[in-house]
Amino acid sequence: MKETKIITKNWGLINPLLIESYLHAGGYQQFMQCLSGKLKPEDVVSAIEKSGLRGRGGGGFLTGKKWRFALEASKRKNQRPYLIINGDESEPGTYKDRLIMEKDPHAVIEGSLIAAYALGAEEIIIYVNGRYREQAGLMQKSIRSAEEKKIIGQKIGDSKTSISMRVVQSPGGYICGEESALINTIEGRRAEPRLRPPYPAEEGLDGRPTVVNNVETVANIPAILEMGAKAYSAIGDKESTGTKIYLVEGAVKYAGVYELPLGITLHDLIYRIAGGFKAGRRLEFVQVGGASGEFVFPDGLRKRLTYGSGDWNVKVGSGAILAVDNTVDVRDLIFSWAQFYRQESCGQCTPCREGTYQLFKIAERLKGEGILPKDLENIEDLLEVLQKTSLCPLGSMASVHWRNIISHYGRKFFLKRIRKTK
Amino acid sequence: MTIQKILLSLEPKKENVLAALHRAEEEFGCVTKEHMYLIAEYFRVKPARVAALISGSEIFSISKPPRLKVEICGGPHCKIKRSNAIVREAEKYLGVKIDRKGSRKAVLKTVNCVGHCAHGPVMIVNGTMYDRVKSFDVDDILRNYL
Repeated sequence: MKETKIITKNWGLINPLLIESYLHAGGYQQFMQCLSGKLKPEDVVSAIEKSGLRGRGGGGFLTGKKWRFALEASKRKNQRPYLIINGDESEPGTYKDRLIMEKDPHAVIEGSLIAAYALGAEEIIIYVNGRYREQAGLMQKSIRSAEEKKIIGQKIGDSKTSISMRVVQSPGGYICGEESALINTIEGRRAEPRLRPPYPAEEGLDGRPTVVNNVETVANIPAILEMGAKAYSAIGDKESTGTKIYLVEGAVKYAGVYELPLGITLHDLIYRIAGGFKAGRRLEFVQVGGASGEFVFPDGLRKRLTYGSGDWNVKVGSGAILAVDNTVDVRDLIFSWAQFYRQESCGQCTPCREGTYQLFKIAERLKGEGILPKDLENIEDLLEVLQKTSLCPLGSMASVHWRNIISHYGRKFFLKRIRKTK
Repeated sequence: MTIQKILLSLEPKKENVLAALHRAEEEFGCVTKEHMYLIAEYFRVKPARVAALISGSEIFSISKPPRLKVEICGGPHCKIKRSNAIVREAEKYLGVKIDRKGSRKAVLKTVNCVGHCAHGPVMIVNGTMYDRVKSFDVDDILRNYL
């Protein structure tokens, strides 16, 4: 089995610091075609719609549909939309956006320029995680070199299009990756999600229609225009087209970053690409899609990695795949997730703020001297409240791994660890 | 570099508040109350708003950190790669407990995933990142800072 290289095609072959290197590899040609009038904005939007490209941040919403919503809203309100490229990624175990920005920053810039051209946006904001100082600097430098080459700026290449681009660093935090919280922080507010509707595509930054796309999503756009929407949609699954960057980590022999079509099975990914498991290890479970991802137990390795739903599909999410074997103490992992969600809960809604705190306390006891008998009764109530009543998806994400562990190992996993009272 | 110089290098637009905070954090290691007031005044926003932005963030801190600030990644990937052993080693070396109030010299903290999972476990000392840390590396690294 071979990798399908679309996003990673330039990695390691070009010098990411030099724009000439990217130009030499055939970069910015698709954007120049747009500017010369060969490709109208409408053509670009319909090509993206036909390609079936889905948002690679984790949700998997159709990019073409999102653009269409924003275009309709901007026409109705007679305002130009904003384009925000989301490179926040604070999902534990995910680092694909960092790699894309490090290895091929100009692909991100070209993709977002084409997106801005299609949407009629004049301002692009590249939103980078606050901890990625180096990457933010690299993006800034790349933007400046593109400005010097007159690829970004006022009336680019004697056309009517003017686009400006800047980098914003997030204040740090898991919730900053959420569209509306992200917009709040750019406006200088606290990172808290907004109530929906109105969706950001209708009313986002400064009340204008705003499109928020992931870094990996826009890095696909030049390739889609180059190879054609039809050829792109032939790659991968029927509903989830194209390739995805998978970050395989944990108990496998060859852990690393692989670009493969969507819709491949976990079995293929682990045995035919990552070389199977290390000798003498027994697989406990695989977590797909970062800390908020679902668990796949050894009997479900034939499941396919897609964005669709169904019994034989696993939501691929951000693409992080963590194989956990029998040498790892699951209680350590539970503690790690519980601590993460407790820290990252923004405190806006009560179920999430208090629920994640109580789960953290239980995890702490589980790791330490043992849980209390009442924890066993409370835990399922807590999970239900978290899942059903929290304002943004963070609450239900915090309960995913607990629910998976209870459904697989049963209550006896906890029963064994009840504290003995004297 | 003073806070005034940082502010003057930025345009007084609301969207630059974040940039100012990042620059201040990089320069001084914290954003103090005085900085907050000056930033609020310069960008013409309420000081409470700047404070809210800081309190919701895990990168900015409001008090001056001790001379040695050690952060260890607590993400699941680093946990699998035995970050607990580093935590124990660092606790022993610094004489402080993790995630508790540190001593005047040092503070030890768990930090959420920093996106270097492939090279875990990760330890950050005063902003410098060390990856693939083994438990016997800890005292070698920390010795340079004491």
